[in-house]
Amino acid sequence: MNSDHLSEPASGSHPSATEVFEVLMRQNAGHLMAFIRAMVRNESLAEDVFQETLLVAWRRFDSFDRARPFGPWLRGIAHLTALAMFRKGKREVVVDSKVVEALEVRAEALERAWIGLEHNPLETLQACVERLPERYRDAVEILYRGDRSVAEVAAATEMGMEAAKKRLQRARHLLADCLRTKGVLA
Amino acid sequence: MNSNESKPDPNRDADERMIEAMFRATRTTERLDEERRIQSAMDVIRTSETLETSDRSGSSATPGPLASKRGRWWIAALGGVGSVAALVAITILAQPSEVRAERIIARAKIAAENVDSRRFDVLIEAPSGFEASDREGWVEVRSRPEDHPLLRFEVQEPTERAQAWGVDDQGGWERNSQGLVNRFKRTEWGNRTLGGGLDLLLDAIPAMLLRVEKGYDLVAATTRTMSPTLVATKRVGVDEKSPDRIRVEFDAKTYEVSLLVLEWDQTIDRRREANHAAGAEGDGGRRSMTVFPPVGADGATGPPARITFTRRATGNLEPMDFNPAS
Repeated sequence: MNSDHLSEPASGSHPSATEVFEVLMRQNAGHLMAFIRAMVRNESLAEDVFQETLLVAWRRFDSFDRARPFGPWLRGIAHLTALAMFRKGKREVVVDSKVVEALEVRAEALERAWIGLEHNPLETLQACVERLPERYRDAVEILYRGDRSVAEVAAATEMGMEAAKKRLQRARHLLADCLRTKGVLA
Repeated sequence: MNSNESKPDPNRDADERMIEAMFRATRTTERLDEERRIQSAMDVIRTSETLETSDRSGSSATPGPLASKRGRWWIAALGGVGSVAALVAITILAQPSEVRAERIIARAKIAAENVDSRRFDVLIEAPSGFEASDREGWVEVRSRPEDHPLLRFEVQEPTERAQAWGVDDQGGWERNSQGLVNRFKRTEWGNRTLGGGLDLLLDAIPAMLLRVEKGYDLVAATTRTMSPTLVATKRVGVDEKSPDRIRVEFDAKTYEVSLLVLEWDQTIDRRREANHAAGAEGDGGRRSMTVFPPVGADGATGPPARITFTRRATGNLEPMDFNPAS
């Protein structure tokens, strides 16, 4: 008798497939949405892709091999779903496959952190923001926390548009380095 | 000019996109939005499930019940206990709140399969009547497919009694407050550390069910509060060193273990037992099958009043960080 056999519960005590799916989905919802957002860069489209991804995943759930991790499987569906939506004309933007590959690597690290840290990747991000030099931190706070545009960041920091873009870009690079050292970004 | 030069580096582009996405997720409404997203998807799924089932006259078109394919290596390590299936059935049927218990068990089992690393703050409370300070530390455990888990348990406070236990690739080890390392067989880890509660940290539900077979009653299973909770109480006559009560709380959203509490009754007999252990093993040196981290001022190894494990962020330990030299 091997341990696999020992782990098999009686049929009467099996969770339903719906219940299994919901638990896995809840566990993976945070980093899945981050992956989709990073891929499509449009909030309403990201919502659509997220919903469609879960429905497709559910329809294919009986073919999912539970010996394999759920997160990469979901992201694979999300990528195909996004491409299908692009092709249907919802958006003309097609994400470069090399960027998607790089996103997948980052999403894997985020998934590990998200599950292991119980949502602390976002606290880690905040800690990294606090470590930014003031001029970068201000620009980031205005853009993301204040939900403003780059033009508004430029106006608020009395810079030209190009300078503001450069500063934000530099700030994101510093944040990426910080998150990488903390294992949140690959 | 090469046209590729104007293309952004995919890695940098991915970094920027991911950071933007993370910022999106920090918005105050995100938790509510996430719940709305999930509920919306589940509503559609449940509706389609109902429609498809009725369309096919009872033959469900949705995926059937799923059983885990991931091995529970530690069940064999503990000597084999028969079918967990039977335990699940016994446990659930014996409970008045069987539906809630079943839901907790089912969800927590699934959730545990998808988590490899766990870290907990540990508080070991000295037995009542002892003039000893509580001890504090942390434990990190890492499951590995097809292999035994790695463990590091550090008792850091009070500093003069800092100690550590671990399991690395070579087996089990303990390091006393003088820094001396003693090795033991890996198969002994379950008894030598954490009041025998390590398996509860690794895989709470099967571990709880093992205890039910060994002499515990699952006396409470509730979701009335935000935290789904299971409480197991030891029956009379079962191994004295085992905790009298085990409480496992699960994260209400993810069903991962968020809190584990092992409690020992503080009876006079129990205190005497701890006193005896203090007299016999007060030198802090070599011990036989140490079940408890020392709690008394002089190194008593009897049961503490309580050990509390509170889930924390994982420490990103490397495999080599689980050996005593690191």
